[in-house]
Amino acid sequence: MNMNDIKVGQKVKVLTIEGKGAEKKLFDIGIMTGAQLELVSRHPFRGPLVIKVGNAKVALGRSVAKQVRVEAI
Amino acid sequence: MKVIAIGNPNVGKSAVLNRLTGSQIFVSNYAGTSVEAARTRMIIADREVSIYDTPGVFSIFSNTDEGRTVRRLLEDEKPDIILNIVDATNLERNLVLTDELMALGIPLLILLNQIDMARDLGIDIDTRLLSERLGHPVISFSATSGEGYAEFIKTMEAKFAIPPRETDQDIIKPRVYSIGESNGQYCSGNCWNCSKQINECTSEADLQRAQEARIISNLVTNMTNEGQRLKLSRIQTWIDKPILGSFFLLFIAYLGFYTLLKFIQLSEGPINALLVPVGQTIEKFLVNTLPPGWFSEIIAQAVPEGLIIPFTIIMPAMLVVGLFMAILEDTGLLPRYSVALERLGSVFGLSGQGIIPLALGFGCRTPAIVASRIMPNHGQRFIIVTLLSIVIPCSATLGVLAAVIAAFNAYLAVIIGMMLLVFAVLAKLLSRMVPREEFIYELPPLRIPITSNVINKIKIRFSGFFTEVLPLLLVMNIAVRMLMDSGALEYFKAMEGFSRALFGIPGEALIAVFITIFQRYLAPLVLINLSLTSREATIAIAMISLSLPCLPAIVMTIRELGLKNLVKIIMMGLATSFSVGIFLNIILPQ
Repeated sequence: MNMNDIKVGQKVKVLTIEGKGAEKKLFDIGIMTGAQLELVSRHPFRGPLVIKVGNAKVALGRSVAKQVRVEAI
Repeated sequence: MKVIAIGNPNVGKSAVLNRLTGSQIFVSNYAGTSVEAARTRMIIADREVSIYDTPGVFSIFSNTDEGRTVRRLLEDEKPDIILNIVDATNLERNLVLTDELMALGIPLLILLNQIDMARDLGIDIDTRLLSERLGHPVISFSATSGEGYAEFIKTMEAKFAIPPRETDQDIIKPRVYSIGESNGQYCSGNCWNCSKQINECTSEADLQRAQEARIISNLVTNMTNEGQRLKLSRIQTWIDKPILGSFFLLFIAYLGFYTLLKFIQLSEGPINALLVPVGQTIEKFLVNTLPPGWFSEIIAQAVPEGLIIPFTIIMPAMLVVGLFMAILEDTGLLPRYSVALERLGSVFGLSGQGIIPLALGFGCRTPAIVASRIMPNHGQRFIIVTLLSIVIPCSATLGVLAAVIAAFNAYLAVIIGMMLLVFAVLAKLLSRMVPREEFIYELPPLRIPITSNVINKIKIRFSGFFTEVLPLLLVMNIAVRMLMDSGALEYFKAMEGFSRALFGIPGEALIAVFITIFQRYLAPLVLINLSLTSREATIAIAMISLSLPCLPAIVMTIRELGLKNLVKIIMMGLATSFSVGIFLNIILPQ
């Protein structure tokens, strides 16, 4: 499952990042294998997702979010 | 002594520097980048310390304008100390950069900023242990309350007491890292050369650094209580609600537009009243000193005229937009706009926050070009400035256009339709050339803006008004005046046949299209004196409203994007205008 599939408020752990395009940028903001994330909100009309990484909030477009494979914890 | 301040984006770096040095600030543009580096000075123990501010970076090896600026500063200035500003609420992520910096072999001083906010969140950081682990001094700091200031001064004084290089080298045992673009034979995969090839993905060294950062962060951090909820974080939860928050953000933007336009409107009278006598004095002086003739006549006319536009339009625009941008940045609201507007922007292939300068352009395009700094990268900025220059009609243009449309009974629907069509086509074409980046944004916590910080940011934005904008506008104004006075435009009348065949309008109407450079709202007025049919007027007006940027916009574009990009925009503007003319001439029935 990827970040698009989870429910608001759900906590997950990153398994892998698929594709190389956004890997570095995701890494910079703390989204990497093993990182714990929480989905804070989802903007309407397939807008961006707001995700909590550590104490920081990050917004991801749906196409990037699709590349983040996660598992529930 | 030279100090370079480096930190992740959104760690409150400029607020820290403000707290440390007060508001003495010197702005310098770094060649080849769109990013400014500001320098401040402070006196510690009777010695002058220059502190260089840098744009926020996640890695000093990153292949962005920000990364390049930081690398160039490190190479050119050879700092004695790097002031690493770290966000205490996101220690783990921030330590990745610290780890990179440690390997440069330059003494580090780490400021753990926002320590007060970390405490409120229930995060307890053992600074002594952290300092031991890193081998560099760590100071808990709060830019808001000033906590840690005394300790910073004490640490800096101690740095003066001992020659820094000798002592520090024993402690840190530098690894083989180099920031130089051309590296020697040693390479551990951490030099700029190597990271250039792999900059799109993470390297082994990156992962190692991340792991090290996690270990250290876990070691020194204790989560005490649940943490109390701050009033601000409650507001933040509300603003970050997808729909409600978006309305709130749009309302704030509307307030900004309203203030700007009101300010320009209200300040124009008094500024004019002040400038007119000054202009008259200058004109008299010039007439008396210059040898009489065509040239001096033009200079005497163009110089006072050239003063009016920068002071009545550009100055208020730079000030008010500067103020709003500073507040939006300092509060942390700015990136929230990109999130809220992402969907809307993506319809046109634009980044969401582009909606802001575009909307502002309907008021006046000059501040809109300043506000295009909101865009995430140079390419996106170019798209927005191009659309502003060619398509978006400012309120002054709209007024005159409406009058001319009414006077000739031109086809309003055709003109509006043409503008929408050109906007959509141009946006699509341009965004093809500069593809949107993957949407990844950090949303910094909301903060109350610090006044001195805001003032400094306005200073930075306003710098260059007297040294760049004013002289440039004067020169351009003289040049345009000379062109108009020389009668060069009269030649277009001779192009009657060409103009008729291609666009279906008389040659004189074509002149108006070129006058748009001078002042866009002047151009339609040229049409009023001609006798045109509705069809001719429709084509001419459409060509005028989809053509070239006005003089103030041209000057701002040179300042913000450089001459080369301006030339590109002007070429595109001419191409657009001619295509519109030809297109309408073909489809409109005679």
